[in-house]
Amino acid sequence: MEAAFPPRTFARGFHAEKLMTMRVLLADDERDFVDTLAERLSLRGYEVTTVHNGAEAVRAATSARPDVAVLDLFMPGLPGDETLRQLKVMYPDLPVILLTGHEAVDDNGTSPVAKAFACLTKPLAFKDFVAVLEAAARAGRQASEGGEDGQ
Amino acid sequence: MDNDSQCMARLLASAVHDLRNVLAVIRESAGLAQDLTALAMRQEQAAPDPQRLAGVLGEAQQSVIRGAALADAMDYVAQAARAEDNAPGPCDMTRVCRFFCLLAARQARAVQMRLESGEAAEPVWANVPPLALFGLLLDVLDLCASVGGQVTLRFTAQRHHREEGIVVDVPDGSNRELVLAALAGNPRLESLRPGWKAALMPWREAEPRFFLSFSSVADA
Repeated sequence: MEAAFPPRTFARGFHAEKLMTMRVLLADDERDFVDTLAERLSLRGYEVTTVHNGAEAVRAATSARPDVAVLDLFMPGLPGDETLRQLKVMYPDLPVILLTGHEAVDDNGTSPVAKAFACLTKPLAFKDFVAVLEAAARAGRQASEGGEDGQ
Repeated sequence: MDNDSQCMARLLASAVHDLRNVLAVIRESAGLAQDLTALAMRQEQAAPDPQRLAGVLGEAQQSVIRGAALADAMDYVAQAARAEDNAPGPCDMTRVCRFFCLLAARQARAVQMRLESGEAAEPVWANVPPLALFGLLLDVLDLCASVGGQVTLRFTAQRHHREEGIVVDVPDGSNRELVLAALAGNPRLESLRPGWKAALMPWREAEPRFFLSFSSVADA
């Protein structure tokens, strides 16, 4: 039942003053939501790739090399926490934001969810979401620069 | 927690998740409409592209309709729970099937299943407690999920040989054969309450399908 849709890439300039393009991977099976969110982000200069399940997210992470990944926690097939775990094995410095339709997910810090940069509940306030995206990208850059310094 | 409460908790959690998604689509669609208007003003256009704007607003409207349907289903569950505290009346199995498919859609999607309620020509009234019937349908869904899901599962209320029940069939899906075998294996239905009996019986016509009967032991 899991249709294999090719990843969609949105990239249309709106804020020409944006100097550095941030690449964002959005994975959510709620297609209307993810496509609309992608369009809004692309209008602000983000380069967005959308996919609709966890397996596609893992594949798209390799091809799109995002600065930040945003995953729905309850996706069909490979759920968000397992997708997060696989992404962290492949790209330890990649910041991952989890989206969920439920409140509070991990209280004891032992599940893969604890490795997420942030866990946000839908519906999102777009401004807050963008602020978290930017903070996640900064943290990702710092982590990879720290890794390079250490080598 | 008793079976009815467990069933209600699972269905409501699934529905709330979908309702949050509905709200998220409405919020982002409204935001996108604002973005398009702001963009048009910035580019000194009189208005954003009307076709694009109509599409965005159409998505919001569709989501409102979806949200209203979910609210109806949640309301039905609440009313059913309240009615059972007093005296259970007859329930329309067609509505139960329709509302179950809405409420459990998210749970089904998690195992790559799709739920459909078949169209019945008229209401199928039965003197059964609706919450227990929801529980039985959840048992059937769990049974299909336990062997891997990945099918479409259809529930149609029907009167068969003067007995009201629900026809269960699996019209398509990559895992159809395994799911049909699980349904044919005389499964135990866990959600039964004392004084009631249920059975999922193979019913062979043009294709394999099953009849879920549910009645009071006293009626036997």
